[in-house]
Amino acid sequence: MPVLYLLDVPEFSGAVSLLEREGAYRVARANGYVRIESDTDIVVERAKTNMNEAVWFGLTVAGFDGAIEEFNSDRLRIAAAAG
Amino acid sequence: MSNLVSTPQLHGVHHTAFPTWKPKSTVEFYRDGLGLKLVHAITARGWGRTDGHPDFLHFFFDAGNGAAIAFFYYIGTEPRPEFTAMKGYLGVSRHTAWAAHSQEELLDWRARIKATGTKVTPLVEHETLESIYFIDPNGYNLEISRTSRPLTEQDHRDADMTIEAMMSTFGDNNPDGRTIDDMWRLKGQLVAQNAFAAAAE
Repeated sequence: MPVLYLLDVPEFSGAVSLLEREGAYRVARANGYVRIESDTDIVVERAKTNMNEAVWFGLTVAGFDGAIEEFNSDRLRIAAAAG
Repeated sequence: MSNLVSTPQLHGVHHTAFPTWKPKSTVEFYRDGLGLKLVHAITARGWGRTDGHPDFLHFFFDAGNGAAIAFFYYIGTEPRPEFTAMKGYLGVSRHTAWAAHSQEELLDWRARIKATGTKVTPLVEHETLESIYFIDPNGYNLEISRTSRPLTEQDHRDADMTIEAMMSTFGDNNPDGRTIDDMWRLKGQLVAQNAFAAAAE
C-alpha cells in the first residue's frame, strides 16, 4: 500500500487539494502534514496542481512509503514497495 | 556542548570576499551598473610578508543592511578560472543571494540588471522564496531573493526530520551508495512516527 506524506503548506496546496478532490485516496492530517494512502498507485499530474517545476520536484520532501515508479515534470507515481 | 561555553549570536553578514582578475569590470558592474556604493578600499604591499604574497587591493561595495561584498585583486598574478567561472551545477551552488523586500523591488532589480547588459533570469518561484539569478563579470553567481512566506516552527520541525533522515541515510559522502528515495522513505517513517502516531496518542 503506497503512502505519500505532504507538507500542509501553501506551496504544496495545489497537490493536496487535487488528491483530496479526486476522492480515490484516504486522506488524513496531523501536525502540519497530510498523509495520502491508497490501495492502488498514487498518481499526481503536475498540470492539475498549478505547481511550477522548481517546487514540483520538491513535492516528496515529507517522504513516502513504497516505490517511486515515475517522477518527471508531468507526473509522480508511487506504487507499493516491490515484494 | 559544555555548559561553561556560552552560545554567542551572529548578526548577519559583515562581508563576503572573492578574488578578481577583472578589477575594472568589477567596479563598473557593481558600482556603476548595480549602483552599490563603494565604501572602502585597502591597498597593500604584499601582506607585510616576504614569502611571495602578491601586492593587492581589497575593495568593498555596500550590499545593504551592514553587509558588503568585497574583492581582492592580486597584482601580477595569472587568472585562475577554477576560482571564478565555475561551471555547471557545482558552480551555481556557490553563490551570493541578497535580499529584496518585495516582488516590486525584485522586478526593479531585474530591470536594473538588464540595463547593465547583463543576462538575468525571470522571477523563479521556490517553496518559500522568489529569486532572480545573474552572473557578474568574473563569473560569480548572484541571486536576489524575496521571502514569499515567513518560515514557521513547522518548517523548522520538518527541517529537523529531513536532516535527521539525511544524516542517517548518507552519513558523509554516502559510503553505502544510497539514493534520495531511501532518504524519503526514512523521512516518511519519521513523519509517521512524530506527526501521525503522536497525534493518535
